[in-house]
Amino acid sequence: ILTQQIPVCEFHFSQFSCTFPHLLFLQIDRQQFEETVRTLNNLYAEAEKLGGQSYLEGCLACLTAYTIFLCMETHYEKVLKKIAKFIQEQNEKIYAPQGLLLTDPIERGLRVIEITIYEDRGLTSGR
Amino acid sequence: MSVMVARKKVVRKWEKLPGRNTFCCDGRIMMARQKGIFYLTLFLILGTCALFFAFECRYLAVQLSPAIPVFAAVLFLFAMATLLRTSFSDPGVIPRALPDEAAFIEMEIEATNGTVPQGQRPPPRIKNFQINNQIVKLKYCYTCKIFRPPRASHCSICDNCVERFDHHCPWVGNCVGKRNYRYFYLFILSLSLLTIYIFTFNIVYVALKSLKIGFLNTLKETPGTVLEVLICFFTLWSVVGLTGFHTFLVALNQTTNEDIKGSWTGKNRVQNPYSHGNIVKNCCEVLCGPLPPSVLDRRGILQQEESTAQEGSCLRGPGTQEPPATQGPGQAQEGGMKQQDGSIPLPSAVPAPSVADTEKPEEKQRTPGELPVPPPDAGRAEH
Repeated sequence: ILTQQIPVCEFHFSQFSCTFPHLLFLQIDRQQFEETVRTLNNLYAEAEKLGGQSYLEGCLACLTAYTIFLCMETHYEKVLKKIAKFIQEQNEKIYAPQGLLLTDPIERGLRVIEITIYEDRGLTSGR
Repeated sequence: MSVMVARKKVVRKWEKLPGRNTFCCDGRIMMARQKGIFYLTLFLILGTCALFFAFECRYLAVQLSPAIPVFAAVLFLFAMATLLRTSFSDPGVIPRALPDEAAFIEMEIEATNGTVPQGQRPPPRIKNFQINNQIVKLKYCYTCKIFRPPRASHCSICDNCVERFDHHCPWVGNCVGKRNYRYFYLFILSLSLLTIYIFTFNIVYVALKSLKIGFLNTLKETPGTVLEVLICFFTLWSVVGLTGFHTFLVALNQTTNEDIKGSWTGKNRVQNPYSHGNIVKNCCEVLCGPLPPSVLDRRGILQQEESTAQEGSCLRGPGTQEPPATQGPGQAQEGGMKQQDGSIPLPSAVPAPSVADTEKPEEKQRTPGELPVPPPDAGRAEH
């Protein structure tokens, strides 16, 4: 297997800004890829949202000197689990059959969405 | 009879992390290397409170109210809990770019700037980004090989880029950034209250004692109280002043780093794009907003194969697979998407190598012309 890893989207201010990579033109439908990124952006926006739940969580944590987080899962962590599950599903259904693998952005420090391209060396070398 | 066995030695990511940090409790605790002043902070807080609880509290509980030591204990525990949370947590360190990502960024920069003739300085590596209709410059970090996110900065002491970098605080022995600023703020706030509380009740104690045995006799009898008063008096101004300054920063949704540089004030006359324009909203965002988990995955596993000779042991068969390492709730999985058995599902065109293949690469028989199949983590650089 010849693997190549390409960061395709950059993360700024809770959103991934993407330019569709030319390397993927033949392997995946552009619309499908953009839909994946859009869903990821929505999930990250949900995690970062300054809503009532996160405020309540924060206030409760303040009162307990943040020791409550040692035994309670935060809203952000719950959403990250949802994201990990979503990426796994996308890989199984869409990307893996195309010879691609999407990396969970948290593994790259929430900086980039990275796609690993698996190519058969036999095919690329003309054998 | 001795047989060579490929045994996997578990190496966790924190052991290989770049930057000048120390880790304890198998990567759960993360601090800066210079911890001397942190120990001094601990000593001052513990020492002063120990003296207060040992001498004044007993007297005041009887003479005035039993609520005095209770409230002091609550403040003390609050200050200690927030201090330890600030000191031991990841401040929001941004992991350095992996070789693939760094190469990609370099390629992108070259494409933008073109090749620079020899002898000429290359243009500064900056990306412009718009936040709330305002242009914010993203600077390139030559150490971490990344374009730093907005408000991030590289700490020269810890040698890491830290998100929403505030300052490096030697008193807590750690950087103060996005992930531990709220702990830090609550620490200095509770410490201010504790210092004022102890100082006030020390004065009350001296006053009550003076009424009975005289002022000079009280000072002679209670040298511990005199020491406490002196410590509290000198600590009070700096801690209360610092709390006031950080309250001002929280109200404006600003960092110490931005304030020192004058990013949104002074000659720049640029409005802070991160501020909500409302003190309450700013305070709520900074202190009660969503807290992102650490992206370092310090306790994630990097596996290294280690061959060891064992007497009379036999090789594991392909059926005996080790169970995957369990991970905590807040940890990202190592190696991207994994199946239930711990392997990465490879594309259908490529068969996933069996356990026997990955554990004993030297024993696998290959047909002529066939290329070796790397393990599922092939191409993944470790950091």
